[in-house]
Amino acid sequence: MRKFVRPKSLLEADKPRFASHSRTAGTPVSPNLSSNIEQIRKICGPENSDIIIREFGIPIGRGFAAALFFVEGLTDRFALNLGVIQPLQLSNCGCTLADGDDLARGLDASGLDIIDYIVKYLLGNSQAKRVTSLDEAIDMVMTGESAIFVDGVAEAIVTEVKGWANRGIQEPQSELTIRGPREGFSEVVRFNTALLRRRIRNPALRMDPMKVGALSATDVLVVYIQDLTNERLVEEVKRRISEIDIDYLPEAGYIEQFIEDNPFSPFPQVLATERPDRLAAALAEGHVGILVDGTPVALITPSFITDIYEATEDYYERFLFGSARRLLRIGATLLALLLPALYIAIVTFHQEMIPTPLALAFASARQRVPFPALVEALLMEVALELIREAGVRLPSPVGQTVGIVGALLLGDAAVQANLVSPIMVIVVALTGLASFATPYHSGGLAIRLLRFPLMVAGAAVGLYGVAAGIIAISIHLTLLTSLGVPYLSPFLSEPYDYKDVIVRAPLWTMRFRPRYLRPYRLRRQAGRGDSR
Amino acid sequence: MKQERITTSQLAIVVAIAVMGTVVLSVPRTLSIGAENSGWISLMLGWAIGLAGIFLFVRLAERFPQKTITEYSALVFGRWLGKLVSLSFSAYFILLCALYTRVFAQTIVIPLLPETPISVVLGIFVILLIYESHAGLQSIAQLSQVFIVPIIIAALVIVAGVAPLMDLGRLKPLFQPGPGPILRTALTASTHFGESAVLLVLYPYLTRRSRVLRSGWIGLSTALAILLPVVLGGVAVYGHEQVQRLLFPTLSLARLIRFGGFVEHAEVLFVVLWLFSAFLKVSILFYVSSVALAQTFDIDDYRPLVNVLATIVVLGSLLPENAAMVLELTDVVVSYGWMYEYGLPLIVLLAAVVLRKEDRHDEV
Repeated sequence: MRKFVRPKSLLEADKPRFASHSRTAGTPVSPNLSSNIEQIRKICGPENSDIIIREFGIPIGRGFAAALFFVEGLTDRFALNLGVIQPLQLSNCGCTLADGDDLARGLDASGLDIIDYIVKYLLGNSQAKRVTSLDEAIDMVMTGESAIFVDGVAEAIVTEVKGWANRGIQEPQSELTIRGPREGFSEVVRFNTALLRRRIRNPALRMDPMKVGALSATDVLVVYIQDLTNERLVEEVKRRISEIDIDYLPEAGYIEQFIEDNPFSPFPQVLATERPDRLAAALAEGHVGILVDGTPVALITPSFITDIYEATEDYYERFLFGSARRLLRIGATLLALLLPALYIAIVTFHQEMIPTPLALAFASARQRVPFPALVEALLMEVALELIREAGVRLPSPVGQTVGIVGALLLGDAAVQANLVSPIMVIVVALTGLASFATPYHSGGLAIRLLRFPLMVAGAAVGLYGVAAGIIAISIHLTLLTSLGVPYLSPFLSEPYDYKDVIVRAPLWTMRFRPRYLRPYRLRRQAGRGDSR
Repeated sequence: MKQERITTSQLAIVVAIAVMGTVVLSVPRTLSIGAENSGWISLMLGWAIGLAGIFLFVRLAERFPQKTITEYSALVFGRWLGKLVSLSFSAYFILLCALYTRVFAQTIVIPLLPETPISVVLGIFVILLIYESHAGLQSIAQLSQVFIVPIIIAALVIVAGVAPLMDLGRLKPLFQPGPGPILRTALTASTHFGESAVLLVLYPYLTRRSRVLRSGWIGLSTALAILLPVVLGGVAVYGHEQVQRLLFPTLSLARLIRFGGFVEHAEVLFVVLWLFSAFLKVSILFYVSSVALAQTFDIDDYRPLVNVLATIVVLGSLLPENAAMVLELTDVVVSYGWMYEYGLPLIVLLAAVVLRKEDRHDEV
């Protein structure tokens, strides 16, 4: 039997001293190549497997020793080989410089030094930048660039050779539409900016870069349209993002949770979307967008209560059907929130409200059920939520089976066993169906959660309890803000403008951007004579 | 302290709800008792008095645009007399709050929860009231804005639903009870419209002071537009003798509506809708009285007072022993409230004019 040496407990271990992760741009690039390489090896670790330092020579004049420094996997091999190494190694073919000795001194007749020469004549890349700080060069290499060090020069060239595995542009899974563009954001922020720029081909579309995370140094872009979006919104977003102080930023949800106004509210105050067309439309209205590298989710802020039931398709379909479907979705949202609570309230307190035949049907169905309506409803609601949660994690063929097993077998068996009444199954099934109709996932979560306190209120004091619950939720909603803009703004804007709130009016009637966003240009159709 | 702001159109809605919030269910009865089949004429007259009242309130408030009535009554009458005036002003609104809270609870209990103790209903109500008062004026205004739409729709649905049953002949002859009762009832009705005196406290919170008069009038007219069809409909369907015997004639009207034979007792739905408007009305009155009281005692923020005041309101609302007493008390308050609502501001205005007191500098 092998014997293990019992390792020292983590708690007893000596505390090693770390260099701070956030280095300042202190160390300069040394003119001595080998000392540069040594420095890099020291900072990046001697055996760091994906850090590559490739030494080679540039055959100009007497020849220069040089080194290429990059991270394998983040760089495009072809771009490196064809755009950087090949031109440098073969450089002497087209050498236009006069004299080797001059070059040895780093200067030619035209005043170019070797770095200039490489950048100007040799490199086959679209982007190249000269840096004098070693730390800056390392930071840029970590994002997928490559750095060229030349012996004898206290400068490095950082060139763009990014290229890594990604899943490409696919249809967003969480926001499917029948009509409208199929492409969705992906994990690479540069692709996402391209998707956006293709929709808004105007230099006024600004994407201000920020970095979040001491370790991850994640790219976060604040996206808005200059001279349209209210500066104060943009400034507020930037201020809140700059105040985020964490080490690792895995997903846009972190940004959302750090910048939202009311963290304890169930309602989402930031709209998350995977659809570039939705983000572009929001920007054109005067919202501020946030793109985060490493996630296909973009954030739109400020967000309002209407975002829970609005879908992009409302605008792509003709207005009659857009409006009809939006009304249907509003109804579904209310149903998902209220139906079980109303059912419980009515069968517990207000049986006289329903016509006698129906009341008798209810009563006979409930006759053999041993529980009060609330317990019965909670039983089924929890079962429904379980089926949902279980289905999310499973691979899709199995997930469907879970749905069928859960819904058909469990529901049917529960009725057979007299655990619940068939009417309750109908109510819960309707509620579930209605809650699937809310297009915005986070908004749907709020509705799903609030359903339960309302059910309890309905069971306690009937319709009065449900109404009191609605009042409490409404008061809560009036207190909510998103980036300081009231959450109910679409319902409160003055002069009253319900063209795009309850229904979706014909596009040609919506000549103004939403006033509550205070855009600098209010008119969005018949462009001339912008009025403030 | 005056950080909270409401717009003039929000003011119109707040005034409308402050006027008709609770009375929409019972007003056909009170008017029919006073003026038989000419209740609607009294209502119109009361509305006219209310318009004049708004004019009075705005004239008074314009003299001190940065101050509420509690603040400038001290300016006009001197410290102690002024305090007395403010105290009586807030006391009147607290009385109204307590009364309407009781009416609210009673109205909920009878059709919705006959077996639930009234204290449970009141308890939930007061929790909501405290929450709403802490939320502040903007929250009240926003909620009013959102809820006035379904309230108006509900009133229209009731009247339209019972339209086939109406017999306009029941309204004739006009002026049947003679001018005396009609005028007396008009004064009663004007008490309801006079609750727009909340404007005297809300004025400094307005974002823009132009068109205050107009939006006050719009608010009153909205209330009239809801109350008048209900009063006319009640008398036209039931006749005034029967309306006098109905506790909540508007609900009785709603009961006559059948939605395709499916929903019976539709009045329950209307009670729920009314619940929103009644809650908002009481919150407006409660907000006004707590602000007024806080200023009377020179407290910067009214919020610490809210819990105490809410307790007082609930205890006060439990004082009447039964529904009959509540009705009697309501009748007394409604019959004489107009004297206070219009009289007090009139006295303050006259005193301010005579003593040449004003403070017109306006920062906004």
